[in-house]
Amino acid sequence: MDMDVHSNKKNNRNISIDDILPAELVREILMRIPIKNLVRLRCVSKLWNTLISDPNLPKSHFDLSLAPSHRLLVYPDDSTKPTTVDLDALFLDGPSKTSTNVSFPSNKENQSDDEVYIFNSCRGFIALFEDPHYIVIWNPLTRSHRVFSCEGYKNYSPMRKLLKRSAMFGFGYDASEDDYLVLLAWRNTRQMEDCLGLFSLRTNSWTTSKVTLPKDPLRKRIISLSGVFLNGAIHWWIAPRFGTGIDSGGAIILVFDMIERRFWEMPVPKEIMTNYHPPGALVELGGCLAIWFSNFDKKTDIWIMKEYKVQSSWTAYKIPCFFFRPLYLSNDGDIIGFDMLKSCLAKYNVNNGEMLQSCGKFCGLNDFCMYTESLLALPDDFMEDTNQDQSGKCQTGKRFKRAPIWRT
Amino acid sequence: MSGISDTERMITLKTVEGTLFDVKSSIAKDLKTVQAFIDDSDDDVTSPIPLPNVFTRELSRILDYLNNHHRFRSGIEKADEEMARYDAEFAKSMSHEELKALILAANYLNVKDLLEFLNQTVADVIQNKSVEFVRNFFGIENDYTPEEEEKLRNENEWAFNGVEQD
Repeated sequence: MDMDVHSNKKNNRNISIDDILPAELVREILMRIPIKNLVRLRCVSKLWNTLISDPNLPKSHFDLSLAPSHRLLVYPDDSTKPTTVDLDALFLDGPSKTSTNVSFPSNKENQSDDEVYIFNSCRGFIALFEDPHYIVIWNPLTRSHRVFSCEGYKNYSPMRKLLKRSAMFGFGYDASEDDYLVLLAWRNTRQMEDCLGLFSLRTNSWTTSKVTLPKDPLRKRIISLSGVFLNGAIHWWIAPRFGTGIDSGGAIILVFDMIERRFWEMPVPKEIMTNYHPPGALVELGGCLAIWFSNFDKKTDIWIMKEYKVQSSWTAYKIPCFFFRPLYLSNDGDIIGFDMLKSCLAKYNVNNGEMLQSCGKFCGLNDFCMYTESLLALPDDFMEDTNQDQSGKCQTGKRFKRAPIWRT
Repeated sequence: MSGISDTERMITLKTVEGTLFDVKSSIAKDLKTVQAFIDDSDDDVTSPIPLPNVFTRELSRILDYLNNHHRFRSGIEKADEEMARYDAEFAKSMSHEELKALILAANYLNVKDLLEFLNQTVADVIQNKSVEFVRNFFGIENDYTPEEEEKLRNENEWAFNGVEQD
């Protein structure tokens, strides 16, 4: 047998078709490569570019989560540039090797980073608010983004209300329509009713409606600034305002189901309800909803709902660290979070209760959010004349100028 | 039917070079292509099954992998560690060329677990390497013009930091 078939000299034109891996095999290999390395490999050949740019690959890659990344978008207090940090690598390599400076996609010529607020993330996209009334959905990895405005609501000053925690913001994914939605809810004090504005990225339009929210959150309570997207729904932590004592009903988790488009109330563990605690916050840990708050015993309590919607599955952990802000669950099952007093990241081992600190300091956190990298693209089928670039799939750098449609 | 139990039955496979391999039918089950051939045959398969796309070197490696994994799985609890060590050695023992040839053979024979392992191994090898290395590895010709490639690299310039030297 001619063993030359096995040699791979660069100039050997006798490479038989059998030596070249079929596209399905290449795809299987690509699925196992972390996203940050995948982008570079687009340059290998036109076939590879097609395989990597095919919208189904990012979907399968994302859904399979074979190599999920945990990154933090940080916008520090001390007016340094915003950066993204590879959290998995931070404990190994230290901050200088794992941080990357970024620029927020800007709507104006001289947009200062001061006027940008970070809300939350979903499937690799981050929702930002840029003064005076722009919402930006941005994928920091592919650099693509979509801008739209909420100017139609400016009479209700949703942003001001958000900062005073008397309005709600949410960003999530509707799997039934393959659509991303932005949600704003506020109280119309004149008409004494609660309003809901939903923006669909697929139809590029706002829909406004009246709602009745359980337990009247917009009047009486503090709301987490932006919701946590999990299991096809957005969740907000709603707790009584300081100084009002325990409201009847105490704290609740308000949930908006993305597919059914309705609100419902998720009960909070009894143990938290009966004792007064400082207001907490919600976070997603390892695919589960979790509540955390720093307690009067100088430790941080974390309650994780191990099975979604199962009340009895709330499990408590006591982290031996005051003001520990949990961020995510590592692949090894440690709770990684931010030690707000020491301004550094810390890792809590759930099995032996040990805490480990990372080196390097974060100069205070102003705005930040956790995200997982993805190569997903936003739905774009509302655009009539799509400018097809080479790959025809991503919206790199396109600024969307058409005014969104308002529907009531 | 001769009354011999399934696990004792031997199947004979013939590689491209004409080498014959006797394989227990329990192992042959993991070679899904071969198993399909057996299932499709009306009578018991007695003559060697020809594998026109598989060379001796590859079949020998595949059978080695399968035999060892069967041994680990049917053994004591500690097998996980041993299996991991075997897998690491197995991957290291091959040149990139041999790895590629093995993937093709495992794909043809449809050996699911081995294929997943090999795909992961290749993914680990190439993930931090340069574009030229990857082309070399897969024997892919660059079909971009220099201008097209320049443009693509510039668009994705930030992704090229931190790449390992070849």
